[in-house]
Amino acid sequence: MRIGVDVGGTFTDFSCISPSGRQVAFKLPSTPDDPSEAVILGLRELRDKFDISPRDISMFAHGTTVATNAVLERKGATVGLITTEGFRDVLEIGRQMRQKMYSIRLEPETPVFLAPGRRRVSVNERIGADGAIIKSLDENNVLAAVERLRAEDVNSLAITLLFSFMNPIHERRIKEIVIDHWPDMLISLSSEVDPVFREYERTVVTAFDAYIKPTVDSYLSKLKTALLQEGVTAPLQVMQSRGGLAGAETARMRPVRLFLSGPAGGVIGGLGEGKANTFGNLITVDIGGTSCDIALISESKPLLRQEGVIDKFSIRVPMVDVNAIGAGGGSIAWIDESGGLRVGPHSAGSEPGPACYDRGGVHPTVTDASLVSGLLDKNYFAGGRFRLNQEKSCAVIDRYIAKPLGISVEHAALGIQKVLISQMSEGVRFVSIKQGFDPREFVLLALGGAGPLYACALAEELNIGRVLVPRNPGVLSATGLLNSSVEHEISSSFNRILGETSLAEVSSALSLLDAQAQKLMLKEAVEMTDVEVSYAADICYLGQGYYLEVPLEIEKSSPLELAYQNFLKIHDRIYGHSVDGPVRIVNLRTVHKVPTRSEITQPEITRGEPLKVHRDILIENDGKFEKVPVLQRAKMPVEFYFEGPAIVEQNDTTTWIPKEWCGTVLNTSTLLLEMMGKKF
Amino acid sequence: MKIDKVTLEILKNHCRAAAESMAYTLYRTAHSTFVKETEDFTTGLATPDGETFAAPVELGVTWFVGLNYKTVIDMIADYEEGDICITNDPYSGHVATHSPDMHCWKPVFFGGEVVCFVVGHIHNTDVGGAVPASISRTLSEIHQEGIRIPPAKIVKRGNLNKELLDIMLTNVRMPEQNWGDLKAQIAAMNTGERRVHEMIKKFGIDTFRSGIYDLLDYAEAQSRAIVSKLPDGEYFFADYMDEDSENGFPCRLALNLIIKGEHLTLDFTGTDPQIESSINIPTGGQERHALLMVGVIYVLYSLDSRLFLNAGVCRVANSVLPEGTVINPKFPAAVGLRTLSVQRLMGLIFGAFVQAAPEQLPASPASGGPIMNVNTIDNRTGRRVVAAIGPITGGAGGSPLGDGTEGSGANSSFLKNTPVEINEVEVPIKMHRYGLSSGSGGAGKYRGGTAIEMWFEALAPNTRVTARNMDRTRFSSWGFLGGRAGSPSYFLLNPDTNQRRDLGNLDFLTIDPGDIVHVASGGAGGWGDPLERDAGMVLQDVRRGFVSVEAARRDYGVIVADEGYDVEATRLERSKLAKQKKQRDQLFDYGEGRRTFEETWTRENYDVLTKILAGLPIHWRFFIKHRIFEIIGKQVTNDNGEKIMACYAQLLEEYSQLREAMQDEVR
Repeated sequence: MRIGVDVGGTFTDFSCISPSGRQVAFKLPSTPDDPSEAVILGLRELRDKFDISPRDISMFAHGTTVATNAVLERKGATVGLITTEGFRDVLEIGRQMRQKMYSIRLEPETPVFLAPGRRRVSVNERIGADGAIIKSLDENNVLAAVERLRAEDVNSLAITLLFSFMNPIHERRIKEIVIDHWPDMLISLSSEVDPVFREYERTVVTAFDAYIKPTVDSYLSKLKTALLQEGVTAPLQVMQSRGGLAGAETARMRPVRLFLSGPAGGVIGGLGEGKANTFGNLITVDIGGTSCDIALISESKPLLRQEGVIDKFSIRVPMVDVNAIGAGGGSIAWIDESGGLRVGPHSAGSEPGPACYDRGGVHPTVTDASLVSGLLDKNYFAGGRFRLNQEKSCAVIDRYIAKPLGISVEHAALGIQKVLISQMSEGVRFVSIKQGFDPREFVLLALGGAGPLYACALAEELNIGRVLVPRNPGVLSATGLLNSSVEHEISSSFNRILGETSLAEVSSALSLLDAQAQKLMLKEAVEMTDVEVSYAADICYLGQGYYLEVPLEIEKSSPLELAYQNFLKIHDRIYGHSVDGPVRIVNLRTVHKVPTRSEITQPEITRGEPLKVHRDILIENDGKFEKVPVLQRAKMPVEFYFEGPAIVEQNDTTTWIPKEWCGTVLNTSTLLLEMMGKKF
Repeated sequence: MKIDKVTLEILKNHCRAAAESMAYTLYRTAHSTFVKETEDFTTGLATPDGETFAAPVELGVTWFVGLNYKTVIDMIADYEEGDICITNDPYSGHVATHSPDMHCWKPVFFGGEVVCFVVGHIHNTDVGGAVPASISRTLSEIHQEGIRIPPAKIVKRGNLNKELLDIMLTNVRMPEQNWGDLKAQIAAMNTGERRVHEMIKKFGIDTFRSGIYDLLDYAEAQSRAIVSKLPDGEYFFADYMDEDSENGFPCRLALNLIIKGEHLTLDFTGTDPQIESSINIPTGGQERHALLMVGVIYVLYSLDSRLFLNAGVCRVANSVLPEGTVINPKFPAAVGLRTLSVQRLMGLIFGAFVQAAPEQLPASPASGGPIMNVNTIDNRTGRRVVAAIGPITGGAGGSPLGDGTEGSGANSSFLKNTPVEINEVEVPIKMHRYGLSSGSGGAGKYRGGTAIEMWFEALAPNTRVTARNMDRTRFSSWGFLGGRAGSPSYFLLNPDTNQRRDLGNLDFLTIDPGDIVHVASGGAGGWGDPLERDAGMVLQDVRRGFVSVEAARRDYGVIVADEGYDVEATRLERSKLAKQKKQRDQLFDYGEGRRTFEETWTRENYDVLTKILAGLPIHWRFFIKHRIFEIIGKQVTNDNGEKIMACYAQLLEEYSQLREAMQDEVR
């Protein structure tokens, strides 16, 4: 029995698969004060309701927002920062990026809160660009720094010296000295956390690492203890931002890699869903109440970015490339001063929620528009758990949108949905076209409560012909955890011109990295013979500021030449051109992973007639209502085929299938929607 | 035909995304450090008559939102599909505003007709001319500022115009950089064209055609709504650049802002005559020239950040631009360093608007810090290196919302800095310090942001250092509503040694191994009375090293003691200072340099001077201004300009040539 538990802000999702392929999935409300509580409650529910004993659990994979929340709520450590003399302010100055470039009313855009001025001290030392020691470390300085930071009640330390990625000797020495005088201090070294050039970026990652270390540390050890108490003997594994699992011990050592733990599970879940249905190119669109998360999977590999964003701060940690845009079911529609119709980024959230929730919401939201157009059933929202007030929706749309624009409520409702779709399609273009992918070659995977409602319209907008709706689109993150590999990635700066380095040099650098990765893997409960190793290099043209990750197929003949050719190919894909020219290998990377075997899940279908009723739906082009069949997902057997327009209802979501689309239930019980007449 | 609001909103998203994807293509493919690390470029979409209707909001420089390409578009006789045109000549249509800016435009065809242009520019690190990087304050004619390419096709029907390219590359110092950047521009143009075609396919040609004009109207309506909320009135403001020439006199910019209903008039009468150095601003007398509108766009956007940015915004304003002045110079005045004067011009516009919206806008952002360039031979490779090692920026002004941001946030800081770990690898210098400058932010209830300082050491002989845009060593960034001015900027050679030299506004020098340069921008102005600043915040500033213990007492009346501050002593000190201060209760604090200067050059006196100079032939104005300044010297003259008129009369007497020239002009 394998279990995946994804702790989100509102719900904690459980997904469980038995060796025979039986799947159990459910949600419990999260317990934000101590997220492990909900986890334990879930385990008890599994035991009591589903007769699954903790001892039968062979794998326990966990997605957590604890790292992210520590940042969002500013509840991390009191961090002290030690830098090279003269460069104490790097963290504060940053790269001078501006979110609002045209404003003269500004807020700080660097994470100064991690270590404000009084907690930043510098020491006399200097490593040169080539790694040589220009000025040796003044150890008395270090002692003074320690004293100073002690006075500031620091409980976690980040050490970021210039060029430490070329030569870490001074950072390591400082660590030794600190430990001598302050044995219980937690320390993050930039040469270990992110040994790559650009001092600001490295400082930020290292300081974030130090900031969340105590929080992550205590959470994971608490959870581990609690799991043991419940009788779970399987090792605790945690999802990392780049989409691989790591043992809790390793995760605690590298906490900065846990930021997108949850969304990464979603992407891996999407990957599994795609694989099970033999689709390798997917765009996942997860639409919730306030936002829409978009990610891309190409040739069965999730797209990664080397630099992620957390709470508006750029942070150089590999993450699944999830683009979050402020558009969801609760997004508020409004008219701007020049009379333009806008949707979001403000959201009515879950409290008070859309006007139709009847809980005091006074602004028209996307959900109100969907209700007015008939896509939602006022009597069957969230499985009929509560009733929606359609009159309220009509009233607010009329007042705030229809009247000011001089159009009917129906047209306004359609307009709101159109604007939403347009924003989401820009979000999809952003992740796909920016990376040189053509969205038309992808399948759209609809996730979240509102994903299936807009997926076909979004697909049409993007000229995408196929949409997949998983059987349980709400708990895919938890399921994704089950499909993930155990994975460790180690990279370091290399900085050689490709033509001027040799394979031997590259190989010896890689074997150093391999040794480190192996050390991490040895701590996991895996067979070392199952470890798959792959390599990659970050390559750029000489003089270029940005690099591309290129696979390094070391087992093939002349791998460096091959990497160069691949660089040209990827450069051409992303930028539309590439020319022969000298290139530099900036970083080398090794990835060790042990894939998890995944069972084929058995579909669960209740017998009965899928067709429930007919309902009036506003059809886009003529603005008139039309009778549309409403089908019940739970009663649709494998190979069940139907044509749009149709509505498919299930407890946790509603799927809208417009005209000229048809649907088929696949043998995985996933619903495939296709644009009719389109060739693939 | 007006298109419906829903479609317009969707079109708007698409257009902005198209401009942004052009910017991404360009940013990521560009080769030179300047482009890749400082983002000195733009991309956009323009109507067939050249008005920019969409631009990115998150990438590139912020100066060309209102750029109108019409003048240069019209200089090309006919367009064919696949053409790409370029120009960098500031005097061919005033689209390029100094020679390093290579502007590009490509017609996008549909059904055999041009339906729009994709446009943009890159700042090339060097385009030849008298000095490396092509820009120096000392230059006085455009001809010294590098090769000038009038509007011409660099790509004809998809084929590269190799002859033109060769001419360009032959005339520049680092041809492979220029070529790399140009290729990135061409890639960006092609991306834009592709995106426009996709939009046409989606929306239909009719919707696209009229929609792009609707977008301009839309932005116009938004900005009119913002302006209409400001109180009607006239708001005068003046500011100075340190020098109008090497070791010269201050150069004044003046603005009378007239707000009436939903319209703005920017009258620049009172601005100094065009000068014999390269800080002229080439507007060509266009009353909505992009460079004049930058400050206006910043202000309107700051008042309401929902503003959609395109040339439509500029329609709320028109300008009065006296010919032959710094803001409307005649050929062949040098313009390379207009970056400096445009920054001052933006500050000037802020200074006028802040009077109309005192509770919404901040005090002056920091400025005066240069962009540092180094040109030398790398000991490690034997190769010559010409590189920008970073802009020396400063913080934002204190504002009703809080302190100015530290070290960045000034109006020049769309420029990104270059990491030390890139500088030391690519340039043979050693960095000693890069950090926030203590005590530089103007005191205030909300303090002005601190300046940045940089110390570096040359490692090779004959290292030529350019400190472009160095200014504000004399005239500080102003504080507002009781807030104090920021500290002045400075530029020192070998500080803390007996060979120390104060380089002032020098913008070019040659140094040798072991020489150390120390340079800092000015600090930003503070907002509101410093005595009202929370004492705890003052203490925090002391602990962060931003304010000294002494300054805490002097400027804020906060007595710092051991672990905190002395509450009682602070109360007494504050009430004592409050009494002293009553006497000088002014809207602006300009700092010591300007206070001294204006003891002689009161507004009345300067008005008289302006009137005199405006009456002269353009080529005499700069000379006569200098003569008058020399004669008046530091006399304090509160006589409504009588001494100045007397001085002019004396000069008329002295120079018969001037009398002749004036008669010629009348004839």
